[in-house]
Amino acid sequence: MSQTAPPDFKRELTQVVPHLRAFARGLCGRADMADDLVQETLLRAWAARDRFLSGTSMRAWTFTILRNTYLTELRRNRFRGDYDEALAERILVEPAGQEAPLHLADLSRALMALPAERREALLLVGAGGFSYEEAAAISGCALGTIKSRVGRGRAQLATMIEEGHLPRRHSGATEDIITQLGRLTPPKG
Amino acid sequence: MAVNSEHNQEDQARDHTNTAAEHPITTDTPPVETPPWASALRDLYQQVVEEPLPDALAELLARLDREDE
Repeated sequence: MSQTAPPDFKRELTQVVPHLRAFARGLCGRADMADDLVQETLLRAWAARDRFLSGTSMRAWTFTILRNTYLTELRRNRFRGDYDEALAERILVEPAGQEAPLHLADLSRALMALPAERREALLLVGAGGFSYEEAAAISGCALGTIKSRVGRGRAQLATMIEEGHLPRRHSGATEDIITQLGRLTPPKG
Repeated sequence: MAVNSEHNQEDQARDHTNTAAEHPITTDTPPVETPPWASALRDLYQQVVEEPLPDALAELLARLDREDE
């Protein structure tokens, strides 16, 4: 089997790296760990480049790899999901119309407090712009399941943000993530 | 073709008028209210997308190229 990358593979892989960083940051909540996760994902994608079908979505393919890598490493306790307080405090304030401004730091904290599968679904559909079908394929679950996760995630996030029920800083989101792992679809292979 | 096109446009306009007469003009589709946090979620994602690539990742991508040589 040839290990020579298809002509466009490297270019497409390079183009999705910023998106991989954004997805990873949302999943694990820490910039340094997210970039470690992206590095591992790139290495795995490169090693598996013969299995990438030209003409299909590089973003969906690599997101699947990243998601599976995240779960695998999380089970090994290498990528403990945690909230990067220092980084989040530097994030700009998001204007929120006539209401009080919504701090993106607050949103980050709320996101990390969501059950892992809902956070993942919201990141894919609500932030990453994937269709429900694509998100279901990436998450290895049924279409109805991903729709349910997105819906419940939206409702929970709205409650936390709009009613001010934000989790307190350093509230043990990490432990929550670990305990929620058992409900996620394990990576294949 | 131009004539047909104009004709079709007239038909469509007439049809629209008839329909409008039967159904008073209303905003059929209410504007979708996007909560602030929903756009903030996209912004949070986009903010990372627009960050400069860290050196470590740029070097890794360069290394992948050299691996082929």
